[in-house]
Amino acid sequence: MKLQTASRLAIYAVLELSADPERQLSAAEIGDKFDISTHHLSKVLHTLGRAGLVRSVRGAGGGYVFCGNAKRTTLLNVIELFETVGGGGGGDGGNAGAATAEGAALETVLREIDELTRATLNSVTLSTLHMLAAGAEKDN
Amino acid sequence: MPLCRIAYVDHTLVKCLWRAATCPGLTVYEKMVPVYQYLDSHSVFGGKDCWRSMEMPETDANFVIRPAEQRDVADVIALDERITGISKREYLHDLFERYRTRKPDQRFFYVAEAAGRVVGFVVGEIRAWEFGSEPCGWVFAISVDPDEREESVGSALLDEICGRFRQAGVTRLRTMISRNNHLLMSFFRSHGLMAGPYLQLEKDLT
Ligand SMILES: CC(C)(COP(=O)(O)OP(=O)(O)OC[C@H]1O[C@@H](n2cnc3c(N)ncnc32)[C@H](O)[C@@H]1OP(=O)(O)O)[C@@H](O)C(=O)NCCC(=O)NCCS
Repeated sequence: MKLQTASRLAIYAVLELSADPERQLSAAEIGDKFDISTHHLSKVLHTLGRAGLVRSVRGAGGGYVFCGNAKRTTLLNVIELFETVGGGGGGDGGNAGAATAEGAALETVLREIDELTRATLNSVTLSTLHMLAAGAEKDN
Repeated sequence: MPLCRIAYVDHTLVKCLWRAATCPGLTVYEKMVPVYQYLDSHSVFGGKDCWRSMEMPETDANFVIRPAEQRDVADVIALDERITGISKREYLHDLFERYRTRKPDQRFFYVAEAAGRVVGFVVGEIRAWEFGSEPCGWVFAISVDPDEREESVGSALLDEICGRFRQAGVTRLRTMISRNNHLLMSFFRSHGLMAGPYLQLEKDLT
């Protein structure tokens, strides 16, 4: 599965901020860590703010803080702010031939993959991802 | 604050001891039970279950994990029916009997008890070479009373059975979850379970 850039940046941003909900971080600080453009990240943070996952703090040393629940926010919750997951059909190939028996058979298989993708993304919370990241860091 | 619950929030002995040291209003005995439980489930005392011989305090705000007994089966059936909406009376009676009488060192049926009431259960066993897989510990069912959730009862049950699997020399935990059961999926994920190398396939035979 490929994630759109905005979804990937959003996941990095909420992960970084939720690692310590007390800590304020600017878009530049988050961008530095993941080597990503501050401009793009700012737009993503704005969307996350509207969704109530982060809050911007004004003034000197301002930035963003996490204000969601890391144990209950899943990857799907974040990704769906930016793209549709498992919409079936579409893609570059469009829905050509969907009305045929072959098209319907293909749809059945694609739907199976979509369902698995959604179930996986909907069961992994930010806390779980923190745990996985800590494990990966230890292995390195 | 009930210490047994605290002890399972973070699965480390350090946290458990730290809480014991900073938790006022508990007797030394109450403070030590989760510590013993932890040591026991991690084979520190060679699985002698030494803490079990101590008398457990019965308070509303506490729970213990212990092997299921005959008298628990009716409660387990009722709890399971409440959660799944399906009565599995015969199956669960049969399961308990099989677990008690055959291969009890590889089959585990534990309940969580609070104030004399069964508030959760876990069932699992070590299976070897099925589907060509090396021996691993399967969890077939885990459920917690809806009124007692998010208090670490489920984690305590899972910790217990994992400790048993480890004692038996098994190093892998496996389970199967309905992909629509978001709650159970999140629970197992939070305990570090990931998709395994097998994929379950099925077909309608009607
Ligand atoms: C899944 C279940 C066993 C969890 O029991 P529990 O005692 O509430 O679990 P815990 O308190 O130990 O929770 C452990 C972790 O699971 C996850 N979790 C628990 N409840 C959750 C919820 N409502 N939403 C999302 N994640 C949840 C969290 O990550 C939690 O960690 P936290 O305590 O740090 O937040 C219980 O909810 C249950 O019985 N559900 C029904 C199970 C079922 O369908 N059984 C029949 C088929 S076998």
